[in-house]
Amino acid sequence: MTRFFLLFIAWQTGLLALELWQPVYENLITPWTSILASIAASIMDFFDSGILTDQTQIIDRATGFAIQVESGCNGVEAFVILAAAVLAYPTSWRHQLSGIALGFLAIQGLNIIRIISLFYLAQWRADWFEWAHLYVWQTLIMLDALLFFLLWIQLIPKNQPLPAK
Amino acid sequence: MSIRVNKKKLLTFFAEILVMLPVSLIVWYQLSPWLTAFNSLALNISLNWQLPDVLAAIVHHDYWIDIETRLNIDTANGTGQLIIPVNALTYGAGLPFFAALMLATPDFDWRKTVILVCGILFLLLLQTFSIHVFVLKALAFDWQQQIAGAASPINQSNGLALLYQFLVLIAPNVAPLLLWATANKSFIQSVGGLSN
Repeated sequence: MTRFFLLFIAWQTGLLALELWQPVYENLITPWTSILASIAASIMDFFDSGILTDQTQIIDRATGFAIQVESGCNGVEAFVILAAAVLAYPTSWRHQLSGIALGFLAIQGLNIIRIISLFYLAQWRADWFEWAHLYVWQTLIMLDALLFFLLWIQLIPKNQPLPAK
Repeated sequence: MSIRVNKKKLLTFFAEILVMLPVSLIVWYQLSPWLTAFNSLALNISLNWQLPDVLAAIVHHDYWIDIETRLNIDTANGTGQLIIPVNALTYGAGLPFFAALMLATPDFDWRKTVILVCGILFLLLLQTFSIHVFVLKALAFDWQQQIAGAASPINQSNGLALLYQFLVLIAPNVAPLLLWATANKSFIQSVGGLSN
């Protein structure tokens, strides 16, 4: 357990430093934020035509209303924390890979719901938007990461041989 | 048998979180004027220590803190006092999250009550530190051009920018989880079947 904690903190520090490193930020994080905005806009456009994107902006063509998906809204931090926990957990690399891939889907799936809900909430009740944006959704995304991790360690087979490290 | 017990524990935890989180968020919001008063007091000490010539006063109302400086800024209507308003709750959302996690975890006893109180205090101090760094970032990056007469009291640096990003994007989310995990090792062990 102590080994898990130490590895978790080490992985987390390394991955977060990597995330903030300028080349990674410019070539991976920023493009991912644009992709996320496009995915959310495509889903919205499916049932509410007239939604477009401009890089990280999602725009309602009819009203001109727009929101910007920024760093901190792209789910990367939550994913980094989850990935660090999965990588620190003593199991085979296959299970770690599956945990990272499924965890990514779990976090980004919920994050897309967050972006869509905030886009409409901001137009409907601007005073609720701040609450939902800054406090509720931020917490729910972290909770998603924690619950996914607990579920994952529950479901992977026990007594896996430790990977040679 | 043990896996069945673990599953039951985990499901109970999930269910209790769903109850505790909204309760914690509401209580936290209702208490925010008092919590912000604490932040205000701590900021008065920390900012006066680092920027004694810059700080004029710290005024808090509800969950907003106004950092009133002795600096003047050039505006369209002339020169005016630089006041930096901060929404203190932006940096403190980890507090209700931590409280909800602690209260939802099985076997909540007196030891965990002490950890809950200490954790809340730690998160309040972290929140204060985040606001402190936000003020430094605002002076160095956001208001540097507009400050009239003299140079900004804080120099722009990559270190400050990185520290700000860490304290805004990462620490408020990571700190509650780390505190909770440290206090509930045995719960995680029982869920995952880890040994010491």
